[in-house]
Amino acid sequence: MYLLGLSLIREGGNGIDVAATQAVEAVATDNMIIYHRVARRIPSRMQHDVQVALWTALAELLEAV
Amino acid sequence: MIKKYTLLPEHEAQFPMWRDKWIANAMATGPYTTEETERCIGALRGLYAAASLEQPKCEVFAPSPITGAIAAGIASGVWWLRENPGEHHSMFEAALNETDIVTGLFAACKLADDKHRENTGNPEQVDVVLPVVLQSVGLDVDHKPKKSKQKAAVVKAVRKFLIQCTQRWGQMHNGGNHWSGYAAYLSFFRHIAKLDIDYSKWQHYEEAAKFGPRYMHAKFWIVSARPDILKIDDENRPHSATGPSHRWPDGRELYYWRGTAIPKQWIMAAGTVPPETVLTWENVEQRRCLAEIIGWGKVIAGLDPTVVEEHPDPYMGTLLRLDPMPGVDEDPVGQFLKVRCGTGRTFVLRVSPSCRTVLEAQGELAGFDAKQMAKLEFRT
Repeated sequence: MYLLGLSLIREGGNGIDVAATQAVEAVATDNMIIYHRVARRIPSRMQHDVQVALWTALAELLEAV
Repeated sequence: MIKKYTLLPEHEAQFPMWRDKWIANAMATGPYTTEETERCIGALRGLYAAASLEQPKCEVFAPSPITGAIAAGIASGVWWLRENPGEHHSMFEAALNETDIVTGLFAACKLADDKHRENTGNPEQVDVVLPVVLQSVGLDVDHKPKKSKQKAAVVKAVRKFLIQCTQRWGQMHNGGNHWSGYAAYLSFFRHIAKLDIDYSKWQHYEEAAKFGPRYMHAKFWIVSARPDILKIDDENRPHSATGPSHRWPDGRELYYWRGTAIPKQWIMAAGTVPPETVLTWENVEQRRCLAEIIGWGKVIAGLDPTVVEEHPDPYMGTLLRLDPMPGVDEDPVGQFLKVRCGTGRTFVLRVSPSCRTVLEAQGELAGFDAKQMAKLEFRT
């Protein structure tokens, strides 16, 4: 059976993060094969690089205020 | 009876196509078309609806993920101050009205935009954070603030609070197309495996993953523009030898050399970098990048090396040593073999400080000892 998960909603501080996501329960090992042979091949570097630059910019701002 | 999905050969055959489609999505550049903008707005509205949340009135596009994050933090602080007047006195020793809050908003944005001008080295750079924040708090981009009657210290404290709110960007963040891996995985089951499940809520997430990182708040959402420039090497690492590896429409740039972040000067004005920087720069990874950018040949030539031995055959080369320099903890700093290769080009290769002769250095590079090297008829 595939379980549908909905709406990862995190509340905290001043913001609400809404991500209506759907989770597929890993009931078959094939799921992991797909994950490793498809999803893992996609570069995640952009995320990392942008966050490094963002934290650097924020550190400068916080230091200046 | 539970029916499990089994990976079929015809589904497996589509792995490369599916992977490449989502890699292209992750690496997409250029402005959104009108049609894309409309699809993006529809996807974001769909996400709020899927989560049974009220639609925010402020729907905003930011010129980069960094500007978007800073603006989201400041805007969320403004909304919080508006909705929590009872907290003002304990925080600022004053009761703030809308004019006071907006004055603090302008002060915080000015700081952020001044920092951006400083980092880009362009004093003419227009404000980028301010217009995004104004739209995110329901004000016009050309809003003219009234003068606050609060003391300067209060305005400064409000500014500080709003800047501190920028640290909370992660609570509103979704990676959008930066998180293409996850979307590729889940959407595979929808479009390739064609599982018989309800994707009516997921479809909005999948659609929103085709646009830049986003910041979602109860009162606003901000979606980032795609970069104008995104350059990578053959291993998908950010890399550019001629300019920024990443550049967004607001002028924010990143410089990378084969996956390592480096200062802008090393790419844009490499000729002005003192050669000893290759030996004295604190970060070893970046030091290695600089050596590749400048080239050991130029580095060594600029540092007046000692000739340990010059072999009569230029294909065997000349062994050079750099003497210890102030601020460099290696002793000796290093030895290098300047050698001509079979193609006629000259290379300068770093060799062990223990090498005493050209043949020993050649042996080290080739995996032989010096005696074996001496017996070679010729070197290619």
